[in-house]
Amino acid sequence: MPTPPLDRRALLRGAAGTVIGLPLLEEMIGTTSAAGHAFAGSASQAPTRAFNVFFGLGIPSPLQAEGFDGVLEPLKPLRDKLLIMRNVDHVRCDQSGINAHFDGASAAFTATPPDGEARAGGASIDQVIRRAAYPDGLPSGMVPTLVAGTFFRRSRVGRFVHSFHRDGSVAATMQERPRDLFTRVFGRLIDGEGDASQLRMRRSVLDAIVDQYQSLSGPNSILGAASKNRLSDHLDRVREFEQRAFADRKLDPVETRDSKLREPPKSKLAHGGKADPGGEGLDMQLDDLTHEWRLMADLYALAIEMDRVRFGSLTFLAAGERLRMTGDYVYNGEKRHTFNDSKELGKGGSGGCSHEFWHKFRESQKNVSLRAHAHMKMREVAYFLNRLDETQEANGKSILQNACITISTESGDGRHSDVKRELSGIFHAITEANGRFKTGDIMNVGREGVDVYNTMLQSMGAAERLGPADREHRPVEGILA
Amino acid sequence: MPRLCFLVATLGLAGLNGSLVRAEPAATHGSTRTARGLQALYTFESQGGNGDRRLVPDVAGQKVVIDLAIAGKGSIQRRENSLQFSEDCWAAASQDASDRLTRVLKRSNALSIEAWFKTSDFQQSGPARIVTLSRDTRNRNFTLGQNISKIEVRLRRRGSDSNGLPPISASIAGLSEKWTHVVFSRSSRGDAFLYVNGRQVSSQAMPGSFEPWEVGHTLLIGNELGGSRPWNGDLALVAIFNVALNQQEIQRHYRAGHRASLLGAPAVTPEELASLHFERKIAPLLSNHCLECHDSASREGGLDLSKKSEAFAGGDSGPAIVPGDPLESLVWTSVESDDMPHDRDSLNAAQKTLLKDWIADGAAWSLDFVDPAVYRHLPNSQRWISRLTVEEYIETIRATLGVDIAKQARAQLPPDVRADGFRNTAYNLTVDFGHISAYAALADTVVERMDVVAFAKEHAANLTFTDKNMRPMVESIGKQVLRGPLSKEEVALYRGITTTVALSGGDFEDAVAFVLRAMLQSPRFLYRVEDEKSGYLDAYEQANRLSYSVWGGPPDAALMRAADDGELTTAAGIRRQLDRMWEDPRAVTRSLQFLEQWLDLERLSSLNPERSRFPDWNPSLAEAMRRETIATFRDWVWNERGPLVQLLDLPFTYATPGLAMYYGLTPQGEGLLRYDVSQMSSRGGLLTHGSVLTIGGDDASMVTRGLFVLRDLLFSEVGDPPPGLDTSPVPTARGVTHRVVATQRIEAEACGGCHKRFEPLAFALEKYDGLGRFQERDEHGNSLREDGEILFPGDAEPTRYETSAEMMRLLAESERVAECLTRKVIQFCLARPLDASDARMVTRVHTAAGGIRARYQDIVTQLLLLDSSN
Repeated sequence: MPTPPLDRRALLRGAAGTVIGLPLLEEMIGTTSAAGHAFAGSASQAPTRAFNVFFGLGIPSPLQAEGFDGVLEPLKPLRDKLLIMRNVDHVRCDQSGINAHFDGASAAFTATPPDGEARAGGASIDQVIRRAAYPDGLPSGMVPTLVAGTFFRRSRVGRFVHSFHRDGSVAATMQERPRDLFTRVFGRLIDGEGDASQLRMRRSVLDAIVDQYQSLSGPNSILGAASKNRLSDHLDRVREFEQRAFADRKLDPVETRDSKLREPPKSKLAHGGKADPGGEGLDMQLDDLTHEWRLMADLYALAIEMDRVRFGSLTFLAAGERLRMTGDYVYNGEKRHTFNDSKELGKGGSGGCSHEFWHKFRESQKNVSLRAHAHMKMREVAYFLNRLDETQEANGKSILQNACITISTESGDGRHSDVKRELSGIFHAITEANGRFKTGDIMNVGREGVDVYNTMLQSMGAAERLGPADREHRPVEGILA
Repeated sequence: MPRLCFLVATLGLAGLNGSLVRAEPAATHGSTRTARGLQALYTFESQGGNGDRRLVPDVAGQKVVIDLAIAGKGSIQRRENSLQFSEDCWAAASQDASDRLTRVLKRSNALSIEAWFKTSDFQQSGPARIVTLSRDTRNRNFTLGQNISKIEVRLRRRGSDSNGLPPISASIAGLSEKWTHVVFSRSSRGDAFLYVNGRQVSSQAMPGSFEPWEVGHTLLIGNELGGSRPWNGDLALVAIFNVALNQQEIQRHYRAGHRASLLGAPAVTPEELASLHFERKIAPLLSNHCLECHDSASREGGLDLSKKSEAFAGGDSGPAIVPGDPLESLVWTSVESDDMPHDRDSLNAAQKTLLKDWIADGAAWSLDFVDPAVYRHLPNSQRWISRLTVEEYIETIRATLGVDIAKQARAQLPPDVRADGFRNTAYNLTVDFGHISAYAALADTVVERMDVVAFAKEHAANLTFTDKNMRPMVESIGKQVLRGPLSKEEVALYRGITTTVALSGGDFEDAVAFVLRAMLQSPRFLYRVEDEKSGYLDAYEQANRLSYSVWGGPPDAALMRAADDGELTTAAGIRRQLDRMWEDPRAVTRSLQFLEQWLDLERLSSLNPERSRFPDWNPSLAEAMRRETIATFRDWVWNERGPLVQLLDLPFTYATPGLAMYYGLTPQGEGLLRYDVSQMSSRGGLLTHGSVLTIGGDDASMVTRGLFVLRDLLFSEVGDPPPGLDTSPVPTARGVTHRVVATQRIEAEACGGCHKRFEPLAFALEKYDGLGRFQERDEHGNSLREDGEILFPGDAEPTRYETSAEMMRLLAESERVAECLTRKVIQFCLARPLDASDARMVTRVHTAAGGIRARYQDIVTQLLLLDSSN
């Protein structure tokens, strides 16, 4: 374990030198979830939340069948809180796309094929739930949708973003560095200095801005629907800005005003254009990657725990990722594998990336390296889920249990090497969503992803459905609690 | 329903579905009327028979009709195609219908009122009501009337009184008993115009929203309710629109004449309608279900369904399409039986009906060539507003306020993400919290760097907070910063900030600074706002479209003056501005943004080749390659003003000493210099630049390079690889070159159908390694080749070339490639991927720009002239 978990108390009591103030501190100091602050429900209720967790390259179907004895082992401690689904197909998405990785990544959580290089074919499941649960918008001050992740393949947005609006555009900008994620969720925009008159003048500026975005996104606008939606998004973020810049001041108890969050360290990994040298792959130390993943997972979980975020997605590597991994892989104190992809494959460049193990997968062989990579990714997914399981909410369940979390990937039964449909048998796992879905099972579902998702949506109280409008709804009763 | 009408109703075509209607036979060419925004239309045609003679039907074709009933004690004489009004009579709509009209117009905040009339009283006044939406003589939403020799329009809006005063009016020179055409048009931005007989006779700002409009007013023609403002004369047509008609539309209506009828058939001829039907419905069907096997190159069963003559000639099995007789047409019978498409999904019932009806109706075929690439992206009606890209934001700040914010903006604003080949694709210009905080911080920085008082002095009479000083100052600053006049509401909004500043103890400088901060974060600054509902650009929107297309920045003072003066409503006026704008260095900068995004030159900064394979590579070469391409483009497009397509075959290039040696040239000196490569067969043209050759990765992938040529130069596509296919590059070895591997794929039954269409396009590039170095032998000692074949889409047979230089020439002489580059420029200008509905527009722009001789400047110019030449 290279990196100790990010401790919430350490964050709260960080040393001086912090540049970003912490809003809503009274929420963060509470030992239970802050959900009650923004969700005026009874003790048995919990706020509606939905998140999509994505990992790249997938788990070949035969390995899924091994259950917790194989690459799914890291999920075993959470087995009672997950429903693991095998044999879920996205075959309808594998027809007119651009690239198998892109198609598969776009199909995850939307069950629709992509629509252009940077657009999904429709909404993702988290966004449908968001609209249904909060038709008038989320409580003030929340991040409407948090999209974050660590990835190094940037060619098409759908490879790494997994929350989409109904029109297929991304629901939020990807936060790809821990520091970006931190700033997005906890960043404060005004340093708290300035007298009342200065603040009043600044406030008048924001009022004018809000007024204009309201006008242009309102019913009398000269704009069409897509443009108005875009400006509505802008308006939401301006309001968030306003909340942080002004409203928070009133909420900050005087005694905690000096408390600071420690800004995460600067990322050591490549980001931006340097993160994707033309598909040729990157050299990657396992410890460096794990460090960044865990920081992201900690921050994302903290954002949920503090009730700053209720919807979004978290990505552990993009679809079709190419990394040349090195380093010892240790699980539960036991060294399981030593990664040295390039050496093992006998090649540099793209040919020396772990991606090749998926191309070389053969059911009859041991596939040792692929297993190690997949196992390692499951370990990291489990780490994030465990963070969500640490916090008990008022109804006696953990955030993990109360939230609707969908975990999926890009490819499945095609095993990335057979000339057969690749987007069948895609690994899926879901949480109980506060008693709505069955857990504690590994289920051979044998159904289309669109039916699974729509069953989930129905159970979550959303009238909207994914997939073609004229498609008959075929509920998958077996996944319901 | 007759099939023709059915087609009109079901095509759903912009410019066709109800938007074009037939003119009278006597009408002149180009005289079709528009139904854009049409809410009510009265043509006063005789009802005949037993029709209700007191009814004036609304023939606009809206779901809710606003019929009028003739009332009053006076008499109305019916003529064949007009109605004669005299004292004490009128035609009135019901209150419900009137209220509906009020609500519709109020929502749109835009209005056009049109009338064809013949007055019989040259002294009537009041104004005498020709058409009015009013409660009584003092309360109205609008009125168009005659005041002796003038036309007067009263329009209630925020800022006017309840009587709609002050009005807009204009004298009608030589008002006579002849038919007179009058149109009043007011845009949602407050620009109002009066046209008489197709000519603009008055324009003025009539700002203020229709928010004060009230229900309870009645739509009347010929009088006020009760008869106190009669108008005497004949009316042939009255129309009300919830959009501001543009000059072209108004002139078309005038040319259509007073007897133009909207009843009956569509304006387009049946032949034109059938052509559109083919292009919008049948061609996509053929393209997506038939041409994979039956295009000119494949011709399976001897059948080519991509071209009319070949398709009608049929294939080995006989006639494929027999116009009027589906049962004798193999295309239909094989589809009906699901024998075709072979090994693909069958057509659904609706598609089959479409195909059968088309053949039964005569199989109209209007295209030279059904191009599958055109139909790959079906029409997408969604249009996203364009946020300023980071580069546009920087330029807008610089040009508007004189502050260079480039360094801070690039550091603070989230980068724009590439989508569909460009970073300015509007649908992907999303907004993150990071944008909001950056815009706020950048606004602070900009204002801090300005001499705010000096700036304000350019816009204010003095430095006081008086309303008399502040409002004009806010209007003036707003017009400059927000790139167009402010509405009254906007002025009030910004004036409110100055008031708050004053009340908070701030001084004049503070007031201007906070106003600027607000403006720099407003949607009108950060987005390119255009009226999407009317589809009509006002003069300032037009100015912005010109400047952002040509310069990637805001209009300058001259362009704004041209907008003020109404110059941008004509093609000549637009062209005058463009001629000037192309000489500005900003046009060069903008064109380089196009180049960098199209070829993704940013990619070069992150090249990371495998060191063991390329030991002599150093990152400075990547930067030199980027500069080579930029300098070459700049030289050809701006110094030589050469055709865009010729970029693929140029006798020169640019290189640093390091790159020159890398290319095998003798360095001629320090820095980036121009090199004559006319005698060097391995270099010359974009495809021989390292910046482009590196797209294939370390392995110089023939697939990637071939697909680039196919998609980005030939505007063509291939199907996706089979799902689950192992796409790992096959390594070369002694005796196995990339060409050998590619040939194996081409010859493989499962792969060849597609790979034969693009891999040979990369054969000419085999001698360039993954990093663009030219070599005769590969790393295994294999001898390399450069000959091959190129199959231009639509051609039955490929064209052979012996050298890479020869292929470059073929590409540079290709009309297909030239049009593909036109498409790229258009896509960049429109900030959206093109789809099937753009096909006609692309062809029109490309042709007007000179076809194969089209220069970058010509393409953008013709695109910008397109709307004005309708």
